[in-house]
Amino acid sequence: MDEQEQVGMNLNVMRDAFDLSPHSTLILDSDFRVRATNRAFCQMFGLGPQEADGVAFIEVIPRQWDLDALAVYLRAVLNGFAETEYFDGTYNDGGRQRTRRLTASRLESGFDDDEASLLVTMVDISELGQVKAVLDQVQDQLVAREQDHIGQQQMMLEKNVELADRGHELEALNRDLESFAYSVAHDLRAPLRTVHGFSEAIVEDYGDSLDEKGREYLDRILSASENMARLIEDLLSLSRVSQAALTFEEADLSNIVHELVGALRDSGDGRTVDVTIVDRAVQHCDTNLMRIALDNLIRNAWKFTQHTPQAQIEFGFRDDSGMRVYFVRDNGAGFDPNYADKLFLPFHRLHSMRDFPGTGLGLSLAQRIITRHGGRMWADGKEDEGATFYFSLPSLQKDE
Amino acid sequence: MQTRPILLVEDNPDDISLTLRAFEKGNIANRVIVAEDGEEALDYLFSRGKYADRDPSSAPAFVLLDLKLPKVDGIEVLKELRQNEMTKTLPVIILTSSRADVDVMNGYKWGANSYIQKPVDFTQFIEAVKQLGLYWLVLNEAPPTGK
Repeated sequence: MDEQEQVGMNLNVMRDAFDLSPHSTLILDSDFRVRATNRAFCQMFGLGPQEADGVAFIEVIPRQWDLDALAVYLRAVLNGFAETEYFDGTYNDGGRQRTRRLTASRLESGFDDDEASLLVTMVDISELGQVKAVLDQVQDQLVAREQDHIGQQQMMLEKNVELADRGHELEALNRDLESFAYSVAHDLRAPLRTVHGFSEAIVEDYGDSLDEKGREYLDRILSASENMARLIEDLLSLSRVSQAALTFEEADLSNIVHELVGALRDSGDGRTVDVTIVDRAVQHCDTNLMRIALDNLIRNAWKFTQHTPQAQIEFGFRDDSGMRVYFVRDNGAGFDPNYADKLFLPFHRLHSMRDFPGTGLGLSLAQRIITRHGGRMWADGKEDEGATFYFSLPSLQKDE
Repeated sequence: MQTRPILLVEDNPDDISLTLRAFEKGNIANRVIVAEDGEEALDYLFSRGKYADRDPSSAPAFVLLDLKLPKVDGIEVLKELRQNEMTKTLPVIILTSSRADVDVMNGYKWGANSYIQKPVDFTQFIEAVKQLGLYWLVLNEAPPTGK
């Protein structure tokens, strides 16, 4: 193969490369007339091969393109000082917005006497445009959402500060209230002692010189002052329970309940109550406080079964995912489940004083003790069908 | 025989009256000295002030001590008693208005021997003195030999 043949071969390769390039490509002369087009270009614009040759470029491209801008761009590239790297031509193709990105390069050889010509490639970036639009939209949304989020965080921060403030205020208020309750209760006891003490003295020393009515009146004074003494004791316990530091140790709640029931059996009320107590209910707790809580629950059950012919009380537990749920169940008077949430409110009573006397503080006290142990107390029951008081405490196993 | 007196440190006249009545009811023959504030109690125990003439070696059988007192409060009295050689072992029973009072704990901390809940009732009182081995001090009979 001689040199000329070699050149011819090279030219063929170059022409094929130009013609078969997947990018639509054309060459313009310095007057912006089309001098050569490749297949991809002809396909893009629906032209036959060489159909556009010699035609002004502006005749070939869609009318809707910004032709002035295009001319500026092409001229700039031709003159060697283009400021932009491409020109985007958009037009409407049967209702669809299409965009072609046109990139021109200056060729240092020209047609006829020209010094230069332009190599132009065009890429369909309609999809890109849509993707970009979507991306822009997404980005806008993200920005908006982030701002929202920042706003919300700010708001939450402010709310948190507000809540913390409110919490401190409440804590302080609670402390005030409790120390107030403590001192009031404390100071109330002295005059009450006098009322009770001297009423008793009258009964003992002068009872014989009183008639039945006089003794009855004194009995009423005595029993009222005893009620008030209990009320004060309970109030004090309530405030103490909230303030006292807990001392944790292992306690056998079964033993405690046995003792409490024993004391009730010895109280001389002459009742027969069938009591079932689970064995070895060992719990990590403050024994003194837990005894008070259990005392209130057991007394409660004892009291509300007093009009029940075959009274039954049961103490037991079940383990439930890291918590041990204890219960004290009775078959006594029960309560209206509509008021279940009021059971634990201080001074709230669901039964009349005549039927079941009490201070209305026992269950509040028990609940507060359980809460201080990190547990929860709730109740289940129906009127005349008994009640079950539950309390959950962290299982012993968890700590070991 | 002549029994040793009981020192009652209490400022509430009603409580004093009720306590004295309880003793009377229980036939406790011990003389009861009443001090109405902490200062007076200390004066008595250390033979000072208006008790300067008292023979300090004839200590009371025990002290019934209220904690809330004018001038010098009960805990201060207790501290001072425990710091003094002469009164270090003198039995002190705290009078409290509540069994679960924080003061009771405090009292034990400073060396109280027992406590009684007010109003002082005879059964409770006897229970406390029995517990402390002081029963013979309030009986009208002679103390058992060897005690």
